[in-house]
Amino acid sequence: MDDSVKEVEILLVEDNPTDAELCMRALKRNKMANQLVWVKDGAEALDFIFATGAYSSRNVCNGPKVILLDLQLPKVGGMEVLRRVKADERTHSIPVVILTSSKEDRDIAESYELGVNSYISKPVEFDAFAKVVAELGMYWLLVNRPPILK
Amino acid sequence: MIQRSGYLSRFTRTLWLTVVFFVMFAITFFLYLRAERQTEHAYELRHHSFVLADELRQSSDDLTRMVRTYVATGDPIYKRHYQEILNIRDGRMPRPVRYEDIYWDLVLDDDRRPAPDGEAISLLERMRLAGFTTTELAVLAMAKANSDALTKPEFAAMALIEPPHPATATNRLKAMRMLTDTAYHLAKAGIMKPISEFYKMLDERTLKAIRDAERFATLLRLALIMLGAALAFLLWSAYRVLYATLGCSVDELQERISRLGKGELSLPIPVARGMEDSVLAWLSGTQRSLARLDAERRAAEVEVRQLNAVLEQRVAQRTEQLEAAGRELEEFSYSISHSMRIPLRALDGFSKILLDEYGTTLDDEGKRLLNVVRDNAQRMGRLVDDILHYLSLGRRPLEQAPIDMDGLVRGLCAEIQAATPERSLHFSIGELPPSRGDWVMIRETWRNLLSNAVKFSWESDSVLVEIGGAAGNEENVYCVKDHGVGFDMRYADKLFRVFERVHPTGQYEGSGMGLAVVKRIVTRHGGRVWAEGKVNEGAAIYFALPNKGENHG
Repeated sequence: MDDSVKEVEILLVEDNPTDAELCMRALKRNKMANQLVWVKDGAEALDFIFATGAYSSRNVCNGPKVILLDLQLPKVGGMEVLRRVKADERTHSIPVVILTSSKEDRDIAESYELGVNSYISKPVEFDAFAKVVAELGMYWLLVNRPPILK
Repeated sequence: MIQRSGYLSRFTRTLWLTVVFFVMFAITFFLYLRAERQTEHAYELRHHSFVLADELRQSSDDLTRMVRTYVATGDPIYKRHYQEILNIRDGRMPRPVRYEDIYWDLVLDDDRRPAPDGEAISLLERMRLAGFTTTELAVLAMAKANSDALTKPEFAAMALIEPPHPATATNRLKAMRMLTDTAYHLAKAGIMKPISEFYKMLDERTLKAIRDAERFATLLRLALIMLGAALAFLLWSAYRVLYATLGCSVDELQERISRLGKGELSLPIPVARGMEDSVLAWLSGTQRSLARLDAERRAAEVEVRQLNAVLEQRVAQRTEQLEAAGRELEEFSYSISHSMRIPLRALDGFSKILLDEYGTTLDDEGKRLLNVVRDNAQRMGRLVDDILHYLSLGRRPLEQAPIDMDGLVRGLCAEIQAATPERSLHFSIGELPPSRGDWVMIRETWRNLLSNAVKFSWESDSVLVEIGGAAGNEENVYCVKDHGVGFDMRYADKLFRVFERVHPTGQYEGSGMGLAVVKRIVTRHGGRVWAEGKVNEGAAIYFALPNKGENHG
């Protein structure tokens, strides 16, 4: 895969293709979808992040600049992915933004407990959704300064 | 029952019979005492009779002594005494007191008397008064008559020594002979013989009276013994009847009754053979009934307790099932609502993309139609969000903290005014007692009520919203009142239902969830909501929160 060589900026973990497409379109509109990888479940997301399975040729330290993570995922849930990312010292500094339909208080609380960087509930209205996605892409990719990884 | 009353009457009969016998016994005893006295009376009468007869004999002897002394001495005092004795005996002179005792023997020549005078009464009269029989009286009258007859020769003898006869020795001797000769003694014997006869008669009379009295007394004594025995028998049979009626002794019965009275129902009362129709037997039956009833009551109590326990368990089970069903339903609603958000977002999102990227190939009508799709997708998105919010109110844990209602409401009023600067809002805030509850939820309640009040007020320049409250013992009541479109009281209960709108869609913005949310929050706090209103005159929404002793006074 070509993507594996390039520096990936956004990892989108989303099982719903329409939501994924909307998300990608919203990013594309703001010219931020170039270095985006979309995976459809938690297991694939973990393979990508930790350079295992299909992504074993990747370097773990060459992680994405931000992970957009849905919570309701097949195989491995979003919360488990978050837990694993934040538990591993190679990946725990990668910003993780939960982008989900869930508004459950306990999901929000648990996510923050695990060290999530943002928790965003996806609005139904596309304009609002596009605005939110653009803003968080802008912030995490352009405004935020991540630590230098060795 | 007949048998029982028979027993009682037998006892009463025995008792009355005892009383009658006792009266008879008393009378007999009285008679017996009188009979005993009768003997004494006979002796007394005998003595009295003897004294009277002896007085006759004594008077005869005294006369003889006086006449002889007079003849021998010629002293006239003896003649006077002689005459006096006769007079006293015939009742012509007063009879000296205790004359029956020795009298004339104590009268000497100085004529001094040993006793004073009494009543004048003849001896025969006194004998008659003493109750002498006719025969006795006849005998004694004969003796007295003989004595009276003897006075004739005695007077003759006395006359011999009185003038005209000279008081010579010859005459005196002649007179003395007259008083001592055989004829005189014969006459004397003629007096004494009836008296002696009377003595015999007296003895017989006395003996007879004594015998009669004694026979009567013996009879009475016998009667007394028999009556006494009868009384004893009657008392004994009264006791037997009473025992048979009661079935035991009075003491035992009292003990049994007092035990029953104290609630000792389980102790059986034994009844002796043949006592099956006694008070004790009835008491025994009563005890058995009471013990049975008591046991039944206890068993019923146990049963009721068990049933209660089962019932409570069932209620708890049903409640749990009901609650589980409710939770399931909410979960279901929640996941449906939630699941609808993704397709809705796609609907809106792809419509937008279509408009943006293919807008040039669509005519105006095509664009309008696409916008209608977007509008409805967005509206449904808001509805879904409202539902999710409504459902989340039941899932969130309830915080309990003191709430400064006045500060909360004033802040909200300022916020609402700031959000609608084009309208002039007047909030009239009355007393708002503090309360307890979930601050976020209570704030939402107030915000919904206040924004509703503003929303449904007439679109005039000035809007008046009245806010008030009152602290009570059980609950604090709060109220928001507007002067807007109001509502028909017939639909008052519909106001608080999910998506129920009293006003047509489009007329007033909002999903129709506001009051449903208010009701859910207040109900979760254990309070209640209600509304009052009139079409075109405004509405007042009340809510009450339980007051758990937070207000002093």
